Amino acid sequence: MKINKLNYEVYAIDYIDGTLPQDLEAEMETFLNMHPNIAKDIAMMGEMQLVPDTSIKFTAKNDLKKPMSFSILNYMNWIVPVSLSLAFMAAYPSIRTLWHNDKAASTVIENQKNRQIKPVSRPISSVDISEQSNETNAELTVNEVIQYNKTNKLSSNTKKVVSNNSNNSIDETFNTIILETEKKPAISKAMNSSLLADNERIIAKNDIEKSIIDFGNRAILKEEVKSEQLDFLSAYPNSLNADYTLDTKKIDKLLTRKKGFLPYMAFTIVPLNIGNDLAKTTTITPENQLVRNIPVANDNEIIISNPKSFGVEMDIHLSELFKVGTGFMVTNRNILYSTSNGNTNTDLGIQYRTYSVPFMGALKMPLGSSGLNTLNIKGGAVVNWMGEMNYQANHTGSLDLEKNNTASLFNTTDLTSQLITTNDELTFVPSLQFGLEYTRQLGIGQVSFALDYNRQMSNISTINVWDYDIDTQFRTNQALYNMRYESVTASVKYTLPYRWYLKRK
Amino acid sequence: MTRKEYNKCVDLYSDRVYRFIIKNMKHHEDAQDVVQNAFEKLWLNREKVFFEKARSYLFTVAYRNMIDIIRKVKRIDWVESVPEQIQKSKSKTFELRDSINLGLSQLTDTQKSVILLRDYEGYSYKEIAKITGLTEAQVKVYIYRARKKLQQILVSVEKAI
Repeated sequence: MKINKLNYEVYAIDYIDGTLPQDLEAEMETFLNMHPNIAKDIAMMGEMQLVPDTSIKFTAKNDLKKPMSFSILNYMNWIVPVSLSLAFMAAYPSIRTLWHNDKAASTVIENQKNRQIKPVSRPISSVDISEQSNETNAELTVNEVIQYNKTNKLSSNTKKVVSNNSNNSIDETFNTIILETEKKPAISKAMNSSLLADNERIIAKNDIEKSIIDFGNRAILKEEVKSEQLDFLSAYPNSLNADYTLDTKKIDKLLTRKKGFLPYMAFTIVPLNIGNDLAKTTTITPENQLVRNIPVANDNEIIISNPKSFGVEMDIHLSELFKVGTGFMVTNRNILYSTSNGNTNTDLGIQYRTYSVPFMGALKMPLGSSGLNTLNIKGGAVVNWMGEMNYQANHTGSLDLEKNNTASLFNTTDLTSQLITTNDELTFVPSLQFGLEYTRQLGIGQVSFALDYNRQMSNISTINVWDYDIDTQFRTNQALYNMRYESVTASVKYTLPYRWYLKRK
Repeated sequence: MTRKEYNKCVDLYSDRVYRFIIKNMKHHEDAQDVVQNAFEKLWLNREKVFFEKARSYLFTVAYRNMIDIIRKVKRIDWVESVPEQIQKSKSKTFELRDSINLGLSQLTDTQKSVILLRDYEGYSYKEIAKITGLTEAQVKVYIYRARKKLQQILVSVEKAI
């Protein structure tokens, strides 16, 4: 016999752990049958494991730490995004000029040579305008139309503009406008005479150019002013003319004199936002980390997987470029369990859910536009008021006692099970967000596609990994992990067509 | 290992190493010295030690340093009288922890070290053997004896209560 009273201690621990080879296990059992006292000891021992006393802390950590040789590294979290955004904002006027010089203004004006002038005779809602071509049909940008209505009652404001302008190349541009005389000869006569005046031509030319620049080179009104176009113009009144806005309710009386931007509120639904968490392989610290890999017993890891969210937003557009907003978002992440070789990830069937109410301020700057569709670069700061919970789809023990934290259980070793819970307290978490957004006008409302980089600037969640005894439901605190998220997300958003103006003129 | 990683190690492991050492040494200052020495050694050898191996390195260095000190100074109180130390506490958890502490104090230094490495840190028997310089079989025997002794103490404490 291999196992005897002199050597049984070597095999006893493996026997308790259940890792003894089958032949030895049988031999051990035979031995234990012969020695009931030892068998009794071993039977009692299987239930015991020591648990670390986490209240014992090493207090002189700061004495052990070495100062960072290049301390600016400590602030890279903030410096990189903030300086990038400042640089972009500084360069933005030049970028815009480049875009418009190259793409929009020059081509449109060139295409419109050799046209004839006819006076306009119809109100804006029924102006007959064709697409760009060399045919002798009418073609007007928004501002042109506005200008012709405006010339009937030329204001002191527009005259002031004229006096500051001395552009002699107006004729060429202005000649491109083709107007028909049909129904209202009195107006057309007045317009015609106005149009012939040099001053008015200069105004018209300036507005045309401004319109082209702001509105894109294919923003041509056809037949009627469509509702979404009116929406767009209402959102960007300076695209038309800083002195005018559009009355979306009465199409026949489009122009209303006003000054400045009218702040409005809009509602957006975010049906889908999927993300990829970054920096997964970085080793974490309990204090501060950007990744979701949590080491547990025997170098195995818990991985919090990529986020998927949905929700609603409410934005107040304070100016064309700046908005503030809030909303409610629900984000789901899965929790995986990875074994030490890193090759096998087991989905624990846990949905880890975060609820957040963001308070956001963002700058949105158009990079370019095509008709009513725009491509914007945007950036901003968000403070999320976040709470979390997790719930599990499968576990092997009763968790009735886990009332405050719905919890998830998984086995990591033969000796004990482990339990994951998350902090369910509400926390304020600042984060930064940058990205691109393409907005497309629909018949009703608008749809946006966004690609964003998100980075939380402080920790949010606490993942607790407990040692857990399934039988007694007794748990001891194993470790706490504070996490923060860094991710790239892609989202689809739908903005309702209705707008609530905060003030009206 | 970079400077940043070293600092991370301080955050990650100093509590754990300290917890392990203080359970063996009882004297707060000695335990602090051991932890400091271990991290100093890690810092000096940071070029050679990978971040992933730092935990084992720290435990190994700290353990050996601790054994040296225990052998030289010999001012460790191993045995504390069991019944006098027991106070009835409100929660069952607390009672259990007290009893285990009492039990631990009656183990030999090697027994205590191996069982703490196993239970606190979740090291495998092979890893414990590496840290302590024992063979795997020796580690298993020490752990078996430590558990047996703890078991006996816990039973006697229960009876005393």
